[in-house]
Order: sequence, then structure tokens, then C-alpha cells
Amino acid sequence: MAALSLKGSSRLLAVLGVCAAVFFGAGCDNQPPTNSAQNSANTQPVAAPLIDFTRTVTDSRGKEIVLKAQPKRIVSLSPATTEILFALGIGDRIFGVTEACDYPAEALKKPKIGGAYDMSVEKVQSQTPDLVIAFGTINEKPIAALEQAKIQTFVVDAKTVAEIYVAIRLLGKATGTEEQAENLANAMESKLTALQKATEGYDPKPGVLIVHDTNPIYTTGPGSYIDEAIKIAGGKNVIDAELAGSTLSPEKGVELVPDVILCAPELRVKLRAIPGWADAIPAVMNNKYFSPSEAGTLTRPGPRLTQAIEELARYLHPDLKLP
Amino acid sequence: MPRAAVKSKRGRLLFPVLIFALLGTILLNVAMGETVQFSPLLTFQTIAKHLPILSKIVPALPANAPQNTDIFIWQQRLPRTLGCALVGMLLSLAGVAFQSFLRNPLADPYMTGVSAGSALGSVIVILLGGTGALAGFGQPLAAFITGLGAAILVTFLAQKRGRLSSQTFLLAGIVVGTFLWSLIPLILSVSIRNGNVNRQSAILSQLLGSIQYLSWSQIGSLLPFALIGMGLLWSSARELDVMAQSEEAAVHLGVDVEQFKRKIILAGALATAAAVATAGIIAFVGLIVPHIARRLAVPQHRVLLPVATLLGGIVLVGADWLSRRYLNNLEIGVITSLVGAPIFCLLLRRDQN
Repeated sequence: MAALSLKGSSRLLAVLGVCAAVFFGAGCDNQPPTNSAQNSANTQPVAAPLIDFTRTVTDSRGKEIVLKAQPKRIVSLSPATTEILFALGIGDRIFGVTEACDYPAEALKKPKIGGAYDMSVEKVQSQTPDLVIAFGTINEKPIAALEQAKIQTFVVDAKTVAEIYVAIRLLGKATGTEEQAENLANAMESKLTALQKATEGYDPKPGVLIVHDTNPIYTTGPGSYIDEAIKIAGGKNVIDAELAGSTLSPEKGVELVPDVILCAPELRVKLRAIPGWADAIPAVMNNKYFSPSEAGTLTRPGPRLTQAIEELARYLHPDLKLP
Repeated sequence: MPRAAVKSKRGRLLFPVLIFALLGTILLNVAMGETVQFSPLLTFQTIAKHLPILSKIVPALPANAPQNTDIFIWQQRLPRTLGCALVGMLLSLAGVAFQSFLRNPLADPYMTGVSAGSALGSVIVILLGGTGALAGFGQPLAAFITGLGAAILVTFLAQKRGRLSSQTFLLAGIVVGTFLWSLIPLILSVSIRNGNVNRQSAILSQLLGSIQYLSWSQIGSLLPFALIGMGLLWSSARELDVMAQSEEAAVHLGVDVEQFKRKIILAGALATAAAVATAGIIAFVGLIVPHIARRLAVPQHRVLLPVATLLGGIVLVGADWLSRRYLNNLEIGVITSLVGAPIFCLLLRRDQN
């Protein structure tokens, strides 16, 4: 599919206006249905160079990115941005992802440019991207190198849920899919608002502890989308203040008495082995662990966060009634 | 030697003072923590309830004792503290032995390549995701075996026609250690490529030395090796006295020097590997504490070895207390380095004067 659309687009540029209609038809078959509906007569990919796309978008770094044409060869440097781009219906414009980009299934077939934390600048360059999209500050150095090589980069960041919406809208602007981005962000927002309303009445809220790893015990405190997710799902993050290094000692864990622990399934055995936890922490004593049905959805600032939050809300409050 | 005379007078008081100090720091570390603080009496009562004879004599815990008192004291703080003491003891004891038999004040237990070997073993197990293997003992076991293996390799390389020279031993230790260390960044970079950031934190805490999660069962697995290592080293006091003077003197006095060297290396490596497998690499303790012990005690190893042992326990439990109480559970190896390096400089300066 990637090869096909690449071939299609380069030919289209060459023979533009001569036998466009034939190719348009061919291109249409390759478009995901959501996209073709939005793209008003599937002309957008081709019409873009004709209609002035030129725009300046300020990314999360505060950097003004001038885009002269609609990006057609995108490299995505984080699982979250890859997911968002696919959700915007422009998965076929992605020409490089990281080894950690595991959703949707199509992402697995894209060329790999390295790991999420150790990408290869050369592999990115070899895809001749017209836009490289990164998340947060993880790839600061390679991004500087790409910019030196005159490759356009665009960075989004999201620490809170609201910032996830912003990131989605920014990506919509940068890729010319504002409408899809608006719909996606609004759908997430209305879903989460409804969830929050539904869980509001529950009192007391169960104490929730999120554990990313056990040696040392890594957790997440306030000011993060994970913390918000717990709140929206009708729980109370037992970490109510910023922790130095986000690590928790076994003793502090006992003092926090979490009722539920959010962790990957393989960590459960290790949690039991932490001194004192099996005899003093309600979550460990009662085997109250939650992990989303699809791994990583709760910790990845992408579109599936809403799904994970809903699952968590139903886990914390089995009698939850959603409109 | 007037100084030795002073020391021998002091010597009579030294052991009671050190034992008292060790018990005191242990009690302090158990009673005071980052969350709940207990009175020394309540701490003692809680511990006594678990001991065979004392539990019948000691009155029951008062009803107003904080919640989870037993969990905090018996399950979390006491095993951690005792493990810490044991690790400190092993490292300083091995430090004294290595410094004496190599006649090198810079020698420390990690010179044998044990630390690099253990670190490598741990890192590999962590990266393979095997930290939960063998009921959680997979990682310490691997660290122990690779650490001991590194020491044996160093000993083997340092031998020539059945003879082992101290110089070659030190050089071989440095070479093997450096090589094994260089494998760690190699393996780590592969891990970064795979995005295993969480596992990297586990690796970091192993390399920096961390004793946060010591449980009774881990101490149980450390204890046999610790006791064998300690016993072997303590029983070598007389030979170490002679070896510390010169090898020729030892030969004249009928010591089987070559066999003795191997015995010390093996015992020291056993003690060090057990310590590193349990707590990661805790820096400077095995180097500094022996020097402090030499200032406190007479040079006879019969006295020096137990003094260094007790002192090592005190120092590491004290460092753990600092870490838990004031430094937000900073890795204990970081604290020993931060405090140890200036002390070492101070000792150097005083020696020059």
C-alpha cells in the first residue's frame, strides 16, 4: 500500500491535468473510507499543490513551522503520534515509524527508523520525508540533526488530557486534516466528559496507584494525563504530590494504602514480592489489579486513552451507568 | 611505637563501643524512617515478638501503636537494615584482606573484577526480563556466579607457573574489569534501541547500589556465602599479619604463600560477590573503611579484621539511614561515594603531613 501510493503520487505530479481522472479513480480505491468521505471528492491529495496550502503552524516547542505543501511523506517518531496520524485517516502518508509503534496493525508494516528512544537519523533521511513528527523531548538531538539537514520537523507534546486534544488539532493543522482532528478531539472530549459525569457521584473514591516498574517502583503523580485518567474514571490517585524521580519506596507504598494498582500483568508477581506489600496493601491482598484490555493504552497519550479510561471506570465501579 | 601503645589501651574499649554503635545504628535505622517514626521501645518490642525466647517475656504491643507497625519494622526496615549491615561488613572485611595481602593501600574488593562481573550478570538477566526467574533469585544468583567467575578468570590470568604475583593480579583485575565494564554500555545501547526504558532504571539501581527491596529470604540466601567468606578471612589473621610485612617473611615463617593467596582471593571474592549480588555496586566502603579501621585498631589482623567488619556495618547502615531519612531514598552507592571520596582525600592529606 505504501509503495502503491508513492508511485501514484509521483506519477500524478508528472502527468497532472492530462489524465488525472483515471488516476484519481485508482487513488480513491486505496483511500480509507473515512478519509474519502472527508476529502470531498478525493481530489485533496492532488489538488493540494494547486490550492495554496502554505501555512504557518506553531508546534509544541513554540517553533513556527512554515509548510508550503501538504505533507505526503511523514515519518512519525513516537507510538502516540503514529496512532493519532492513523486516526486522522492519513496512515498511508506515513513512511516511517519506530519499532515501538505497534498500533494500528498497519503501523507494524511501515518502514522502521529505529527505536522510540534511539532512532536513526540516516534511516529517517533515507525515507526522504517532507515532515518528521516527534513527541515531547525524547528525540531532541536527532531532531536538531534533521533540521540541520533541512528536513522539516514538527514536535507535539502532551502532559495533560487537554494537551492531547491540542496535539491532535496541531497535527490536523500540519497535515491538512483539520476537520478529522477536530472530530477526533471532540469525540474524545465528549466521551471523557460523559465518563466524568457518570463517575462523579461515587464516594469514597477508591485509591489507585499506578506502577510502571518495580525496581525501583516507578509511578506517576499529579499533573499528568494518567492522573487525570484516574480522576475521570472515578478513582483517586494515591500519589497526591510530585515525587522526586517518580519513584516510590516500599514503605511509602504501605502508607498510601492503594485499593487498586494499575500495572502491566507481568508486574503482579513482583508487586507481591516487595517486602510488606502482600500483607499490608489492600490492592495486593485482594488481587485488585487493573490493566487495560489493549496493552499501553492507558500510558500512551493517544486516541485510545478514552477507551482505557472507560475500562478503568467500569473496573472501579462495576455498577457504572453510562448514557 | 607510642602510638601502638595508645591503641592497645584504647583497644580494650574499642569492641564494646563498636558493637554498641552497630546495634545503635541498626535500632536507629529501624525506628526512624521516611514515613512513620517509632520509639526505640516499640521498635524493640516489635522485633522481640518475632524472637524465640523474648517473645514470651516482652509485653504485647500497645493498642495505640501505629497501623502496620509490624509490617514497617519486621517486614521492611529490619531485613533491609540487617542486609545493609551484612553487605557493609563483607565489603570492608574483604577490603582489609586484599589491601594486606597485596600490600597495596589502594586495593579494594572490586579490584578482583567481581563488581564488573556481577554487574554484567545482573544487567543481562534484567535485560532478558529474568528478574522474576527462580522466585526472584535469578538475578542475584547470576550476579554471584558471574562475579565469582570474573575473579577466577583474573586469578587464572595472573598466574605464571603456579605463582601469583601481586602486581600481575592487580593488572589482570583492571584489564578484566575494564573489559567487562565496557560490555555494559554495549548491552545498554541495544536495550535503548528496543525502548526498554523501564529496565534501564533497574540496571541503574543495580549499578549504583540499592538495597531498597531486601527481604528476609534474600538475606537468607546471602548469609551462607557471607558466613563462609567471613570465616575464611577471619581464620587467616595470622598469615595476613606476616603477608602484610613481606612475602619473603611469610615464606620463612612457613606459610604456603601461593595457596594462601588463592584462599584469600577466593574468600574475598565470595564475600564481595555475595554483597554485590544482594545490593549492587556500593562504592568506596571496601576502600575507606579498612583505612579508618587501621587508624582505630592495632595492625594485628586478629583485631583489625573484626574492627573493620563492625565498622563496615555501622557505616553502611548509617548511610542507609541518611538516605531514607533525609535524601529521599537516594541509591546508597551514591551516598557512600559522595561521603567516601572526601574522607579518602582527607586521609591522604593527613598521611602526607
